Parts: sequence; structure tokens; C-alpha cells
Amino acid sequence: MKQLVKKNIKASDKKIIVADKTRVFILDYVDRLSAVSTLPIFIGRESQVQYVFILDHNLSSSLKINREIHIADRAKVDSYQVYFGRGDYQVNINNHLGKNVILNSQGLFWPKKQQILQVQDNDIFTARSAVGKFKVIGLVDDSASAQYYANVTLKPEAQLSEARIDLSLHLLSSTARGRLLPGLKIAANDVKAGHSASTFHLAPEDLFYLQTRGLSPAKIKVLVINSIAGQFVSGIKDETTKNLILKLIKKRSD
Amino acid sequence: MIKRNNKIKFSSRLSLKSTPKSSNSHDSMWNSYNKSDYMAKTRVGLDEKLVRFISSEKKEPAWMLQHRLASLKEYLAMPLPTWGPDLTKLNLDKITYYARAADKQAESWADVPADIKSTFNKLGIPRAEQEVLAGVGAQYESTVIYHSLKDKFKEQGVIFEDMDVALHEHEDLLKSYFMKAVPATLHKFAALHGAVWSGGTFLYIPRGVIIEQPLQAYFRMNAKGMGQFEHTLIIIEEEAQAHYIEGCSAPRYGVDSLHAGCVEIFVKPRARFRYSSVESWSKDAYNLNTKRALVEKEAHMEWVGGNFGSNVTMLYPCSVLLGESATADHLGVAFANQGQIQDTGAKVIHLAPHTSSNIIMKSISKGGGQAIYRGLVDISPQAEYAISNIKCDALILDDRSQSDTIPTINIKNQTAVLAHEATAGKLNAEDIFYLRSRGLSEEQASAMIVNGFIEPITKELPLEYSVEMNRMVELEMENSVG
Repeated sequence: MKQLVKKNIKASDKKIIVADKTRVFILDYVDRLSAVSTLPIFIGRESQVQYVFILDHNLSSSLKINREIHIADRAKVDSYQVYFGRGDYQVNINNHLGKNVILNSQGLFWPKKQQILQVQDNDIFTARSAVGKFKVIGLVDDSASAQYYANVTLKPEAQLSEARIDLSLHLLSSTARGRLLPGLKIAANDVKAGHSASTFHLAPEDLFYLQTRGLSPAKIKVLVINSIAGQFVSGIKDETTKNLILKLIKKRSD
Repeated sequence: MIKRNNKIKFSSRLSLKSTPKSSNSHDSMWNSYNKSDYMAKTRVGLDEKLVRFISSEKKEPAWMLQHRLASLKEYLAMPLPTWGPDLTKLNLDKITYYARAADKQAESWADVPADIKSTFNKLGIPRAEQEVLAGVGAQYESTVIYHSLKDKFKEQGVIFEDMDVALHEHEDLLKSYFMKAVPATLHKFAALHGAVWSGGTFLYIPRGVIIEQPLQAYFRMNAKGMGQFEHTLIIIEEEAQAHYIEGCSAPRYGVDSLHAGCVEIFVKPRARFRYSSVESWSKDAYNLNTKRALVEKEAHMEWVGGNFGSNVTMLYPCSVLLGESATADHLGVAFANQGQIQDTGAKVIHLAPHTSSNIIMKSISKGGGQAIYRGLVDISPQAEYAISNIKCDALILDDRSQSDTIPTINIKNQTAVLAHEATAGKLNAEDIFYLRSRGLSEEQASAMIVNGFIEPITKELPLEYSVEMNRMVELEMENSVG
């Protein structure tokens, strides 16, 4: 296996191809309107890829983003998606999993103010013995609303595959709104598939305890967010990207 | 959750509906039918003339005719619903929307026409009435042919009537509640129902009355290409309790038939109500049923359902939790065999603080069948500290079958606690091996595991009904090996 190569996606990129048996770190940082809206990404056989997608442009206009990710046989992909920014976003991510692929996908979204976030995450298992795990944590603040649809499709050819989706939502204000749809479409019988969706918040007892220790509700909120953020970035190998995400979270908390 | 009442004794030989003691008798539920000479007086298709004819034949008050005509207008204007399976193959112009098989409702089984009585005898209804039920209704095609309630419940003020009769005898009550939980504007088939509804059950339980024995209604479609649109309206007054069971079947002709019934339930403060249904329509029937309960303060609603037959089923019982601390349980099982689409699920709308809901759904798909769980949990901004638990499990028995899970979760209150969990998989090979080592055939072992899989639902039914459901699973599992 070759050494880790870092690739920053640029506005001029029409498609991304990762060669077979390579180790690549891909940063897909959408921080301006001129960013690539539609981008196919081809990940070669037996390659090892970390793909980090960050959506955080500072204009409050709306944006549509499409990513079509084809993962060839026996590749291993760790995927991280971060949705911040100020605008209204419609994001469509389609992952196509080949034979013996391992895909670990994590998502973190945090719309604020009047933001509207809509994410459609389709994960299509097209061949045998693939493993896909999808974990998404959502924080929704102020009067923002978030809609996260995660659909796993196991085609008849995807026998012996394993799929798991876990969606978790935390509404941070009384006017925030969230909509989750963890869908499973299974057309193969010898598979393991499951999903969960849940809400979470601090129990009144925990909140009371933290307040007795002198923490204000605002500080408690920051603590919770920092804890989530710390866990989220822990697996990212590129320190610069890890710090970028933590910096964006800190800026958003202030 | 209301626990199984041990005081309710069920004869071990008593059969609920299909009397499926062998596969032949089970098949007879779908394959045998009576002559239907009365169909000569009917026609296919729907228009205003037919709606006016139905209303006039039933001598309905003017407001009901107006309601029918307004519903027809909605029906004609509405597209097919998008929430649910593809219904574009259903030819609504080939359906017979109204047929009257008997001239009048009988007061005893002796007065029921012989061929119709024979059908209900096969289904075990008269015997069940004698032994275990508080009351029975039986509908054949578009009209109710028999209805009765034991005297002791009549004396307590319970009303258990055919809807057509209730419309005349309890018009004020009906006018206040009819299609208020399921308005005709809800979707195309609710509008169709509003236009052509006929028959069904009206159940009224007065304040504080507790009925321990279940009440039952059975709906049978007999003729080819028939449509059945019975309306079930149930009002459970404050602190009352009851259990109502519905069963349904139709013979198989190879021509589409349509069932678009409607169930409306009003559960008043601190009342408890359980609605159970085992639907076993023939495999050329479209079962597009709409069921909804409005649950008030501290009241409890339970839905227990089994769906086995039909070509396409579209059924999502809905609880609207209107009052503080209202609760709902939804338990369901669906079996999709060859050529079937079982699109079932549950909807719960939390509109008040401290409401809670619990949804448990099981599905089995086999022989190319498609089982779909489609659900909605909506937690409104007012529903402080609402709790919802959803658990869906699917078994896929072969590589031709399909299972989809489509749960929609809307959360508009930050204090809500919600947990949804779903799994899908196949029969465990080790379990089958163990059972085979104990002398069971592979088919028997598979059926036993599937019955264990649906046990959380069957255990909530009275013993006889759960035995019946297990037997239906065994019959569906026949030829599942090889």
C-alpha cells in the first residue's frame, strides 16, 4: 500500500478518481458559492480513503450539492460529513458499494437561526459482503429546521452484506424542528440490516447538577456540543482538517 | 396495555373466521362463494346517480346525502394518494360500489338467508356469539345482515348497531361524530368512502361501563368485482372500557375487488379501548382501509392487527393523542406471500403534553412478496415531554422477497424522547438445525420460528384468536421449503 496522499477538491474539479490500492485523504470543503455542486468520485479497488465533506459557506443564500460516490471492490472508506454554514442547503449524497467494501460514514449537522437543511443520503449495496455503517448526529438550534433522510438499499446481489443506520437528533431550542427518515429497502434475504432513530437531551437531573456546579445553560450547551464534536473528529487522520472542524464548531458556539 | 382477560374463555374448537383446520378449509375461505343473483340489479362504476340511489334506498336524512355528494366531489378531484403503494393498476371503473344481498336485517340467525348463514357458519360466527362474545355484527356485501347485543349490555346503555339503523335511531350522535376523525378530505379513498359507505358498526359505550367480553363484527365480500365500504364508528365515553374485534374475508375470482372501509374511534377522558382486526381478504382484493382514533386526556387506545390476505394492502391505523397524558399502543403483523404487497404501519400524532406511544410491528415476506412498514410519528410543539418507542422487525424468508422500512419521524418539541429501532434478517440456520434435531421437519421448524417471531402481537389477542393467527402463519408457510 502506498503512502497517504492528500487531495483538496477544487472548484475546477469535474470528477475525482482514486486509483486502485492507494491511500488517499480527500477534503471536500464547500465554503463558497463557486464550489463544485455536482461531483462524481470513483474510489478504486482495495484503496483506503478518508473523505471529509464540510459545508460551511458564509452567505445566507441557498445551495444544492450532489456527490455520487462509487466505491469499488474491497475498498475501505471512512466518510465524514459536516453541515454548518448560514444558508439553506439541499444535499444529495449517493454511495454505491461494491463487493467486500467497508464504509464507515459519520454525519454532523447543526443548522442555526432560520436555516433549512435537507439531506438525502442514499447508500446502495450492489454486490456481496459489503459492510456499511452510518451514524448521524444532528443539533438544531434557534428556529432552524433539518430534514435528514438516510436510505439504505440492499439489492438482490448484495447477499451477506451488513448495513446499519443510527440517526440521533438534539433540538437545542423550543422553536427548532427536525425530521428523520431512516429507510431500509431490502431485496436480499441473507443480510443483516438495522436502523435506529432517536432524540437525546440532558435529563433534568443532569441539567440541575451542572447548574449547581456553577454552569449556565449556555455553557452547558457548549459542553454538550464540544463533547459531540470531540468524538466526531477523533477518527480523522489529517490534523489540519480535524482542527478546522473544531475551529468551525467553536466559532459556531460563540 | 390491557392484559388478556383470563375470565374470557374460548372453546378450543371454536374458530374465529376462517376455520382453517386444514389447508383445504383455509382455501375454502377464498375459493368458495355463494351465487350472487342480487348482482343482476347492480352495475359497475360510480357517479352521482348511484350515490343518490344509495342514500335514497337507505332513506337517509338530507345532511347525509349532502355529505355523500360533497365527498364524491372531493373523490373525483383528488389524485391517488402518494403515501403508500402504487395503486395505478387498480381499475376503479370496474368495481361494483353497492349491492344489497338481503332485503332486511335479521334479528336471529334463523332469519338469515340459508346460503349467507352457511358462509358465516363456516366462519364460526354464530357459535362464537353464543360462547364468548358480548355482541356480533355480520355484514355481507354492502349491508349488514345480522346484528345483536346481549341484553345485559343493552340495559347498561350500550349501543351496538348496524350503521344504517343507527343513522335513523341515533341520528344526533352520528351527526356529531360521523367522519369527524377521518374527514373525506384526508385522501382519495376516504373521499370515496364518504360517497358510497354502506353498512358497518356503530358502538357506543356509556360513561363508566366496562365490557370484559369482546364485541365482534365480521365483513364478507362474496360477489365478483365487489367493493365494500363499511363504516365503523365507535364512541367510548369517559372511564369506559371495551374490546372490539373485526374480521374480514372475500373469495378469489381473479378480478380485482376493493375494500375501502373506515374506522373512527373516539376515546374520551380516562377511557380504555382495544381494537383488534385480523384481515384475510382474498389475494385479488385491494385493501385500502383508513382507521383513526382520537384519544383524549389520560385515555388509552390499543390497535392490534394481523394482515394476511389481499393483493395490495394499504393500512396505517392512526392515533391522534389530543389530551394530556393520552397513550396509544400499536401492535401489528403482516405476512406478504407470492404476489402480495403488504404496505402497513402506524401513525401517531402527539398533540398534548406527556403523551406516549408504543409501536411494535412485525413483517414476514416470502415467495416474492413485499412487506413494507410505513410509519409516521409526529411530535407537535405543544407535546411537551412526549415519549414514543417504535420497534419494527422483518423476516425475509427467501431471495425473491422484499422488505422495506420507511419510518418518518417529525420532532417539533425539544423535550421529546423518541427511540426507533428496526431490524431485518432471515431465519437463523442454527435455530432450524436445533428444531430439526428434535424431530421437526424444516417446514414445521420454520413455521414454529415465525410464530415465535410474531408472539409479541399474538399474545395480546384472546387465546382463540392467537391460535387462529398462528394457524394462518403455518398455512402461509406451507411449501416454504425447497
